[in-house]
Amino acid sequence: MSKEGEGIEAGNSAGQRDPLQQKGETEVDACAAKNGPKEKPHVVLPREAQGRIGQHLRRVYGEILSEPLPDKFSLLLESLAKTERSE
Amino acid sequence: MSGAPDSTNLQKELAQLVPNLRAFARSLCGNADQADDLVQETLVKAWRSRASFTEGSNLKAWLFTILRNTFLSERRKRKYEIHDTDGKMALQLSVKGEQSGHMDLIDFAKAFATLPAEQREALILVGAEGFAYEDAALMCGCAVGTIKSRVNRARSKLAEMLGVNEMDEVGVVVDDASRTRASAG
Repeated sequence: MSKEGEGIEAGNSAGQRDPLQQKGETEVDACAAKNGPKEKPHVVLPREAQGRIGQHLRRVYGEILSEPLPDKFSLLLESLAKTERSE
Repeated sequence: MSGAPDSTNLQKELAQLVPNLRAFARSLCGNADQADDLVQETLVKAWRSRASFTEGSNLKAWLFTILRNTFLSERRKRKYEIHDTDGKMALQLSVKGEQSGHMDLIDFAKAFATLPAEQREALILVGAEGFAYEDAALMCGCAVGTIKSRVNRARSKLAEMLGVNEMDEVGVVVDDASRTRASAG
């Protein structure tokens, strides 16, 4: 099997795995990383345009990140932790 | 249970990542209320399955994967509607349109919302969250090349819609291997 095939297989198996079983094994895709140079080159935007798109994206995303958080999230986490302590 | 995080630490770490989960959720389902429901569901699932998380590994990637899979399975059940078509919901902004200086961001958010869901996702993971292509591929269950191609197509489309820059007719070949894990985060 070609290296490229292995990369695809690694991706698929990660997708099929029960997410709750997944242990954040971010290092297992080393074979796919090595495929980089073998993949066909991508035609991409000039660096400058990429940079400007990236800047916009991070600013928009940053707006959402910096929104004030409703209490419901900390209350939920607190109740999850409390339930455990009383178990 | 070995390697599972201490519950007090986990509570803190989850709380710190809530803003990222909300932003990612909103880029997926486009509706702020549904996004928050999705985040809450993710937190409950993460808490219940915390024994399967290895302390020291990438918590954010683990949570994003749970959130993503929850979203996809809920979407299959039709709980969350997709709002790609009207081009106004995804990456919804809280900023008001009248606020000066934000118009370019609103235009960007609108353009972003018209992208196909899988391109939005790839661009958020790589471009906004700074995940390595390899990590994004694992999270999405696809090949690294697929993620790269989605990111490139998303960028090109946005640039075209926003008139950021003309596409280089010949194209520029960029060696993505220069992107390293060190630059992620």
